[in-house]
Amino acid sequence: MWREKKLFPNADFYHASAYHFMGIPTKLFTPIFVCSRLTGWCAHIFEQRANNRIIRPSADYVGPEKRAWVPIEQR
Amino acid sequence: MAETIKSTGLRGQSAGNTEICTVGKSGSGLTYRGYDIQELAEKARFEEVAYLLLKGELPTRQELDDYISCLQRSRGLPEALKKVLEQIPSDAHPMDVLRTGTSMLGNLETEQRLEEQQAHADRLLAVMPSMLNYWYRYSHFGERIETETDDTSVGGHFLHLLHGKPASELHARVMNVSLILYAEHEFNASTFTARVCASTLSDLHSCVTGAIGSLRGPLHGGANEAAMEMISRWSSPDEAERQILGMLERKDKIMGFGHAIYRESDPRSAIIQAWARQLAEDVGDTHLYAVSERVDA
Repeated sequence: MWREKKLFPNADFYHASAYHFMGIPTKLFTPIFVCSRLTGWCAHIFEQRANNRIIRPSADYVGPEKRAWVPIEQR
Repeated sequence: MAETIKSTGLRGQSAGNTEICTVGKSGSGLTYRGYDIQELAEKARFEEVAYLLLKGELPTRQELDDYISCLQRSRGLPEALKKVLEQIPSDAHPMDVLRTGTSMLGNLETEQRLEEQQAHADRLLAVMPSMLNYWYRYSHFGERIETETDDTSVGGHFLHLLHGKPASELHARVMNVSLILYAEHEFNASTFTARVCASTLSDLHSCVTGAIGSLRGPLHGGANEAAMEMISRWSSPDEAERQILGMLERKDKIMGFGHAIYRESDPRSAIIQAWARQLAEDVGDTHLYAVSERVDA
């Protein structure tokens, strides 16, 4: 991957074989991530609560312009 | 119709301040509360890192001993939660099991006041491996396991419940490193989900349940499972190289490579790679690690 694309492995790539060698079924890999990342999630929840304002961004509207209501029989 | 604007996924935009973590600050670095990931992975216990993240500073020896005891005492599952886990079929997605289990725990042990948040986080940390493995062993083998073990580490506890016997020193050590590497990563999708939920002043279990839902998606969690599925198809490094070149030609997505933020390298990769190599030697692996290295090269 490096030779062809200059792409580097991320945290997940060698985790696959490491977990496999420890006899962990593949479908339990992501749940282990939960057991770990739970600590980061909770730290961020505490930080958010300590200095909170509701997160409410806005969006750029790209939908149709204002248009007239069409009665159901005419659709 | 308005012109189509390509979604940026908010890449590169700051969505708030944090004191917890830096990702890719100098191109490839990762720090938790100022401590470098390499040093943490080499010297710390996961429980120490959990304490650092949750309480802000590294624990003293006494604080760490107390914290480990606290986690050990909190591994039991309420009967009502066991009943719920037993209802979930064996072909369920294990992330759905954790999502349901966390949500159920929120009904049984509801966070009532802000002052309880640390205790609920510690409880979730201790009980998550119990929930997963209780469901796994029951649904796959019909066994109702005892989830309270005397293992001192979260990783050792996890492997003990999964395999029904205490983990080797090497395996407990690798789990420790793995849990440290995955513990925190700034405003990624699941963490941001948790923060958005927290910003409504919702309870901790709701925030975590939402985060699990975000991590379930294949673009976030699940890359290591996809990488496993890929490398296990190939029986030799040469075959792996041929297949990878074909995949690149077809512009197939290759899981486990590249990153949304890191530009040069992911500092976690070399650390777990060294342990994967050691595990390969330990189990007498003849091709899987070699295939992995060839794909990487």
